[in-house]
Formats: sequence, structure tokens, C-alpha cells
Amino acid sequence: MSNQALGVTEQLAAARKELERVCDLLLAPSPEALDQCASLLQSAVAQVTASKAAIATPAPRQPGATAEGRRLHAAVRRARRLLEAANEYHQNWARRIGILSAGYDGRGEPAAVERGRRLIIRG
Amino acid sequence: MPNLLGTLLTSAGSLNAYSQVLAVTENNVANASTPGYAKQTLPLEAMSMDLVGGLAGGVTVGQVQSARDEFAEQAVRTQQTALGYQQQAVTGLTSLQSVFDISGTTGIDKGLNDFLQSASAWGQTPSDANAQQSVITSAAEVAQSFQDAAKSIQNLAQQNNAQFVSTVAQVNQIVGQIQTYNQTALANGTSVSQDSGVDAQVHAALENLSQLIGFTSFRQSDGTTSILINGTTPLLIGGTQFALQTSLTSGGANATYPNAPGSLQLLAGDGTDITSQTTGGQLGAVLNMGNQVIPSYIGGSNQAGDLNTMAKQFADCVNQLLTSGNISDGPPPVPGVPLFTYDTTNDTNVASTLAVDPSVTGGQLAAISPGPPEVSNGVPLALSQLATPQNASQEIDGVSYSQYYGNMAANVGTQLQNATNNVQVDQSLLSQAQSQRQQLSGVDLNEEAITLVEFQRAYQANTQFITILDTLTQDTINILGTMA
Repeated sequence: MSNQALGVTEQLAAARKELERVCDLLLAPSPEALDQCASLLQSAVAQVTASKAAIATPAPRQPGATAEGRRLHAAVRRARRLLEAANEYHQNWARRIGILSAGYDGRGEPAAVERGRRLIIRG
Repeated sequence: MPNLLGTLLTSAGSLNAYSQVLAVTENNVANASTPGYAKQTLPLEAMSMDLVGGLAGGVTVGQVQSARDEFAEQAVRTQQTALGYQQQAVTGLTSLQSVFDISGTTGIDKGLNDFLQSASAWGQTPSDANAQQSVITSAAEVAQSFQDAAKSIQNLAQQNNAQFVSTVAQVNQIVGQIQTYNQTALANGTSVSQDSGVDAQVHAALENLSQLIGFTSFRQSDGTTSILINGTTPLLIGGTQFALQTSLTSGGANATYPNAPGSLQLLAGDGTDITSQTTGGQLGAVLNMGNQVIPSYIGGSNQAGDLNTMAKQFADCVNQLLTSGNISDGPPPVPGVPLFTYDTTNDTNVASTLAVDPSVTGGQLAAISPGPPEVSNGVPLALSQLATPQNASQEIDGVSYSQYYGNMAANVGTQLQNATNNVQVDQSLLSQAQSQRQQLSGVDLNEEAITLVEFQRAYQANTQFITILDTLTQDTINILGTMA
């Protein structure tokens, strides 16, 4: 196995590990967790972009890279589902808060959630 | 100034209030691992203090409050239903996959290969009795392998039917359990939510039920729990249970294949057919396996089934080649006889009945293709070409018989792989919903509204990254695929 081939497979594996970390964070989604996810996903995008550029150049066959690519794709799919489910949960929660705090709007839809006001004092 | 007695009474009242709070806390600790239990809190409330009026103040306890939130509970149950479906699908498809051996060492794949090889060998020595007998023997093996596959899938269908009945019985049993709690609530005039132990049992039962079937539940003002499936069909209202029933129906006179194996039918308490609306949980997967997946192989009221279609076309193709050939030139020429027999009255019974006509001997196999031009081994050559079809008459759905069989096997494999992947995803989604349920206690509406705005921004950013990653990864796999 050439170093380049090893590099592509390893890059894809590294991106997958970032995705798995994202999935772990999304098990308990909070604004902080989602911020961390964004950083990890950004890093994964960079890894996969580098992998894609490496395999696009003429090189020996990449043993294991296709399998690793499929594993990565499965991890992306899992992360997407977790993100969608969490988003859906919080959107429903927001609708619920809207109903509880402000009732329904003129079209019968839950009222929009009013953003709370905060006073910040800095010394 | 309050007198000494008043002070002592206030202190005693406070001690009593703290004692009750401690009791609730102890209850929380004792039930920390009780399935379905939700943390309870007991708020302390200030008592009026009016010394002139004789009110000495102090503290008292308010109503017990549960941290349970039905919104989060329903989210967990929805994920349980999704996971229950996929887990049951994996179980069923794993059994089905074992029927399709594509290694070429057993089953239909091996039978087909052996038959085509024996036809090729016969083509080398068309008059050789051993070569002729070898064709008959391998044809019998092919027929037997179709019968075995059909029988295995029929056994699987029977197991699935039994699972259907037992799953419905489980659903009725769990709903019956919750019905008992409802009846107690109605008799006592107290809501189950006021009793943390019963409340926990109801929620644990609902969570168990959600693995079996998708439903929505509501806590009524009288303290009872109502359960609906498909949004409209009641399973439990107050003290009345509407038990589900099972039925195995045949296609009937309007079916394309009236003699096909029956399909599973789920009936609501009033006898309404709710089969097609029941798509979630283990029950949804069992219904899908029994009414969609299995019939796609061995037939149903509106389809012959791929296994039967393949068996019929293969048998017809071989018979047509043999009967179009001649055993001898004559004069007069002696035509060949068909080799395979099957139940011609029922297209969903072909694979189960495929057999070699026991009266056919090696000498009755036609090798001569009359042409013109006449070819002395034309029929065996045509048979052996079924491995690599030269024209549409040698194909089934545009591919060779071996490929068609491979596609059938691959289809099961793909479905199983998808279900296995979905189990992994749904397990994560369930963990996520459980985690969100855990986080819900002590929510402040205003704080939560602020947090939600932050959530929305973060979701948008993450969704964009995921979309980019998805495209990039797919492109990478495609490039790797073209290099392989």
C-alpha cells in the first residue's frame, strides 16, 4: 500500500471519527453541543475535501478506501437523522411554548416565541 | 409578639413541611431506577403572617409536582416505535436471507449451474445415455431446490403469522393492564398522576406498548389514560378496552390469484380493517413482512411472486426447447417431450410443485434442432446458452436466470442491510429522545425560548455542513468506484 493510498483511507477514517463524535454530541443536543458539532463538521469537510482531491489525481488503487467511504457515508446519514430529529423536537417545543405563552396567531397557528429581554451589565 | 406556644406551633409546622419534602426526596432516590418513574418535587409555600390577626406565618407544602412531560414522553415513544419496527424487520429479513444462498454451493444457484453444465456436456455427446441421464438428474436437483426454497419461505410465513397473533395478544395484554389502572382511577376518583408508583407503571406500560405499535395517548381530566392508534382508532377509552383482532384472509373472487396464500389482517375493536394504516412498531414490521415482502417471493392475491415467476419461465423455456427439437430425424421425425411439470392451475404454486416428469427417460430428450439448418446438438447448445443469453427468449426480465436469482437474493440483502443500518440510527435517535426527556425537568419557559433561538441558528449552520459533507462523501465514493 502506498503512502498516498494509506493517506486517503486514513483521512476518510479521521472524518468518520469526527462524524461519530458529532453523533455522540447530538444525543444530548444543546446550543453548546451544536457549536462543537459545527467545528467538528467543518473539520470533517476539510478532511473529505482533501481526500477527494488526493484520489482525483492519478494514483495506485486505494485498498480499503471505498469501504471507508461507505462507513463515512453511513456516519453522515446517522448525523443527519440525529440533527433532523433534534431540530424537529425543538421546533415542536417552540410551537408549544408559543401556544403556552402567547396562544395562537390570526391564522390559527401557534404564536411566535417572544425572545426574552436581558440586561447585561459590564464592569 | 407571638407567644411561645405560637412560635412552637410555627416551628412544628415547618418541621412537618420539611419532613414531607424529605419524604418526596427519599421516594425519588428509592425509585431512581424504577422503569417509567419521573422525579417529583414538593414546593414549599409561605404562610400568611399577620400577628394582629393571629397568623404566625411559617411554611407549608404545596401540591406534589411531577417532572414528567408528556411531550417528551411521546417523543421517546415515537422513537421506540421506529426502533421496534426496524428490529423486527432485521429478524424477519435475516431468516429470509438464509433461504437465498448465492455462494453457488447449495440451493437454486447451484442447481441452475449444474443443470447448465450438464446440458453443455450433453451437447458434446448428444447420444450418450450417461450425459442424457445427467441432464435429468440435474433438472431434478433444480426442481428440488425451487421446492426447498418455496417451502422455507412458506415456513417463514407461518412463523410470521404466529408472531402476528402473539404480538397482537401482547398489545391487548398491555392495554388491558393500563385499563386496570384507569378503572382504579375511575373508582377512586383520583388521577394516576397523583400516585407516583401507579404513574410510573402506566408510563412503563406505554413505553413497552410503543415498541409493538405506534399510538398516541392522552391523560384525561378524570385521571384516565386514553390510547388511540392511527389517530382515530381507540384501543382504550376510560375503563373500556377495544381489543385488536387478527385474521388471515384469502384473496377472494376479485383477486388476480384467488388461490394465493392468505394475507394478514388487523381488525379494530369494532371489526374495521386497519391493516394498511398500521405501519409502525413490531406489528407494522410483521404486517409488512407477511403482506409485502414474503408475497413478493412466493405470491399473494395480486402477484405470482418472483420465485414462482422464475420457476415457471425456466420450466417453460426448457420444455419449449426440448419439445421444439427432435429425438430422431425419422422419417417421420420424433419430437422431444417436456421435462418439467408443475401446477398449471395456480401461478402462486409453481415453485412448490416444480418437478421432473418421472416418466421421461434419457432417450426421450430431444437433442436435434430441426433448423434449417438442422443441428444434431442444437437443443443442448441452446440449453447451455441460458447461462449467457443470446436473445430475449433465453432471458427473464432482461437478464439470465442466474442473474435474476442473484437479483432476488441481492434485494433481500439490501433490505436487510438497510434495516440493520436503520436499527443503529434509530437506537441513536431513541437515546437522543431519552436524553431530551431527562433534560426537561425544571424548564423555565422564558429561558427556554431564548435557548431555542440559539438552537435554530446552530441547526442551520450544522445542516449546511452536513449537506456539503453528504455531497462530498457521495462524490468520493463515486470516484473510488470508478477507479476500482
